[in-house]
Amino acid sequence: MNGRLISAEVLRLRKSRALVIWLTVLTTGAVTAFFLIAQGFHINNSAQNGPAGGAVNFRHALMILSILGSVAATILGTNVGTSDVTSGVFRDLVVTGISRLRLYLARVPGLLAVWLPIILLAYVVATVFNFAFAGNLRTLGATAIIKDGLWVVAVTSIALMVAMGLAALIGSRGITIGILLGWQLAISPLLGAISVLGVTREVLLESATARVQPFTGGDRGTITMSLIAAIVVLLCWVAVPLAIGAWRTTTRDA
Amino acid sequence: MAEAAQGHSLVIETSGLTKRFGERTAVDHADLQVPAGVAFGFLGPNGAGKTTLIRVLLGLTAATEGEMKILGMPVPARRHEALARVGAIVEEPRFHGHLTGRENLVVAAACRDAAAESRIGPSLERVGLTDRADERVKSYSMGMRQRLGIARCLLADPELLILDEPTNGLDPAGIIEFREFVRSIVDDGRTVFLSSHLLDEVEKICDMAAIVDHGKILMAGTVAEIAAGGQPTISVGVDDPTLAERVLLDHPAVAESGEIAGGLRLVLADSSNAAVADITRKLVEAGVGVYRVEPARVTLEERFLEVTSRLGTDE
Repeated sequence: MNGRLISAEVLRLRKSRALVIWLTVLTTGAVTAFFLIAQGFHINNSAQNGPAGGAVNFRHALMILSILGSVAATILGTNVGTSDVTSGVFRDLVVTGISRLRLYLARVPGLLAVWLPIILLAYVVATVFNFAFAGNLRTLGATAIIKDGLWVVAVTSIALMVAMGLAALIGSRGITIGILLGWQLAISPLLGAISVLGVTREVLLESATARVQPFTGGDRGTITMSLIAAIVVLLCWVAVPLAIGAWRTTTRDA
Repeated sequence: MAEAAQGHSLVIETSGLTKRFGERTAVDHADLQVPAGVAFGFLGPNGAGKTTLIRVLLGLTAATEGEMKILGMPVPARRHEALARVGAIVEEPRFHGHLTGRENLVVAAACRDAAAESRIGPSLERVGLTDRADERVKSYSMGMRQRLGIARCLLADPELLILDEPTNGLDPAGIIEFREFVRSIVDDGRTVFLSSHLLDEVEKICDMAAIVDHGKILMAGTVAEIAAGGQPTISVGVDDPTLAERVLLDHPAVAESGEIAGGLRLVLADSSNAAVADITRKLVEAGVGVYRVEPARVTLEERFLEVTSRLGTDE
């Protein structure tokens, strides 16, 4: 893997201020708003509203972060999957003779290098609020915090890869975002609820992420599957879109 | 640099190169040889297949059939090696608008060899963009983008520059500047292959040219050879062009005649000395004052129009 290509990808994304701001708003902004609003209710009427922190509220915040974080990841992934093509720069990079596959593969670590600090910042902020606003409520231990963090990072990073691969295939950011949000918010939950589909619902991303979720809560599917099956499904959700995106990148007319 | 360029006698070589889009043939069995160390014009009207041939050469789209070599290396087999020493701008140069000029070059340099990054400063300097290099590209004018595109090409320390319609969007001062830049590049021992539909530009910038139309390469050679390759033509300075044209109407050595300022322009069917002398004699005997007979300078434009219109007639 070419370190300079990865650095170039990071530079391109990092300098896109509007994008970075929106990603931060959707992640850190969302959990901050959740805790501050809940704490505001608590301060306003502590008899009826408990403190905003503590284990239960923390996991409510995590559910919000996993959903909005996935939306943010979709926005970022589609940007990376399409920006070179839509800006026309792809052609100018291809004429250098560099392998298109190398160009494509360098985006994955570049993308993660930008995404991980964003999602981790949001998670750290949520953790801080969890303790700061806990009051007399139980808080999570270190192990649970790490497990929950890994889950949020995994769920959103998978959304990131799916978005990048699909965007590279479709070549249009808007269409890809539409398809992914439609899938994530409407089609996937609908398919998950159709019991006649039986075990075939295990291939849904929602089912697999629900299976590896380290805590209960949230409406993230009702299908039971083995942990190994869930991990295989998750890996497929990463590998297949990335492979399709790679194929399209190497074969498209520049 | 010059040493590298001299390593190959031909920097571009195609044989039977063809590109079809469905039923349409954009490049039709093109045989092209571009020697090293020259400015080579690839001349043709809009839609002639110039950009498509360049896109095929650069691997932006696959050839339907035929063979090609760049810097002596077969492509696509050794595309990576060949293009490592090629700088190219296809249509107009594109950039990430939110990045500065310098940052855009950093992104491009990442695709080149490790030394490319050290060439960013000198490349910017060469195209006169050092002072504006840290401004975002979205604030650049078309001319500045073109120059930044050239700077991006120079990151490769290229033996060959391929420029597709490079003067599009440039103002007259920019065009003159560009012309000087191309000559300076050629003086370095590099080769510049530029496509254009602007005949005047090719005539002023290039040493050699090829004329392409309907995807076919119709002729190639030095600009002077191409211009001279038509039917022999003379201009005759006379005091009464109308009478002169009437006198020569049925002359067997004159294929075509037309009035020009102060005389006639004659396309000859027979350009021997005897035929020219006979034409002159006939004019003098008819009372026409002849004060000048000389070969007419045929411009590249005239040859271009002659060649491309002939193709249209054939079809």
